[in-house]
Amino acid sequence: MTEQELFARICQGDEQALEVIYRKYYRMMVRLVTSNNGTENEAKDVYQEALVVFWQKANSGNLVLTSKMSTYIYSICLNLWRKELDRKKRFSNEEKDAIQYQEQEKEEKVKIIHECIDRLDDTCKKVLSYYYFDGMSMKEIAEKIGFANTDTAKTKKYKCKKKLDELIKRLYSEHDFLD
Amino acid sequence: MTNNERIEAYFNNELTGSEGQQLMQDINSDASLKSEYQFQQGVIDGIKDYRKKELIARLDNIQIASTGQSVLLKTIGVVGIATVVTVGSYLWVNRADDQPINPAEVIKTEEVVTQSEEPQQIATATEEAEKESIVEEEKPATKIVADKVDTTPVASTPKEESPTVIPDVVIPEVDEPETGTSTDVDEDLSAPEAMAASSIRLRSSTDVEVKLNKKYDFHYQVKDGGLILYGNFNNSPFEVIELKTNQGINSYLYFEDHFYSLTNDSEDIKPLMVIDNKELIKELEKRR
Repeated sequence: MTEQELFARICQGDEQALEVIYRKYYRMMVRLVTSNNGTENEAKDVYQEALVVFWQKANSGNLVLTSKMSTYIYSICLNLWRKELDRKKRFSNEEKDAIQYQEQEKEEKVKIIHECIDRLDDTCKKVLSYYYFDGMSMKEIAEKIGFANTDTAKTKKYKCKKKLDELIKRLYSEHDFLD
Repeated sequence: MTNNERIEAYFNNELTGSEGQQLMQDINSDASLKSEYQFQQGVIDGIKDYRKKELIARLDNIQIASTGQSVLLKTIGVVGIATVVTVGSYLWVNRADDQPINPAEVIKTEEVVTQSEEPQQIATATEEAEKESIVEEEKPATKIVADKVDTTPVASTPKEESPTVIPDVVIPEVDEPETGTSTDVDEDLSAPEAMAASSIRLRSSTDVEVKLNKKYDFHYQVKDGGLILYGNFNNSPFEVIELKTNQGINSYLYFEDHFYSLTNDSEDIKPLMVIDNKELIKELEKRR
């Protein structure tokens, strides 16, 4: 499979193509981090994060590659790792503790939402994920999931979102969820 | 449009620039609107994070050997390949040099031995030989060496061992001790040394070695007291005959109806030269 074919499949939301890319450039990206004071686990995290960013951009339909795909992903990894190194250097231990506390609090809220998403059916999960994260249009969602038309997709998205909102509000008080 | 619809439209990027700015102003002045905005913001972030974790979990499930393992695997691979190449080369060279024993060949060789004499006849011949005079013991010694056969003895009858004057063969000396390698037959039959020198017998298979070599296709080499034959000697039986003379022991190879001279003056690999001296051939035929 050529690089162009891989990229085309990524843009179409083919998750298997993402796996192919992950395997293909794993060592290159891991070496980038491990040769710059990073561990292999940190490298793995950075690479996965970078691929998710790449996936999101490619799926949004706004990404036009002007370089090799590996070069683009490499640059994302590099930026993410620099950011991480900067974060490590910049903050004192107290600041780190404060950030960690904020992150934990945020994670708790996210956990609540995740539990509610888990209660949705698979179609709702897909529609909401494709719409809010992957940035797909209603037409693309309709094609990918197999809805009759974009209006069906739009209605489904509206209902799923409403259901999720109600679920969260019903199960958790506003105080639990909001700042 | 209700406030909730405005917020929804905002997150769907459906508001114009001015509509968006108006919404932000309203949020700052309206606590309930701000609360709803924060709620919606949290839900959408949660959905994004859910999908992100889903993708990362998918990538995380892909098994890729760590770079440390990779280096180890590469090292093992290189060592493995080197071993295979080395062993392969060794076996290839040995395959060319040391052709494995062909069972058919052994059978053929045994046939040759059987054709020569029976073990019982050897015993008889030895007993008779013990009674013969020293003159009789001066007869030239002849040996048949059958490759790959260790235990089957063979001998000619003492009557055949009359001294013969042949241009190429010097008259054997009296009482010359056996200089050849002692054999199982000699030991088994307890033949006197003088008799052993004049008898035809098998030698150990270790004395003759057959090698296949691309460079030497019909050659021989006398090395460390043993004979190495180079070429395809596996399809037909061969014999090594030694004639004891007053100058020592002359060795000959019989192979596919021809006799070849074997000299042991050096350890060089030499081509096998066929003997065309009719008298010598006749004598060697007798000794076979």
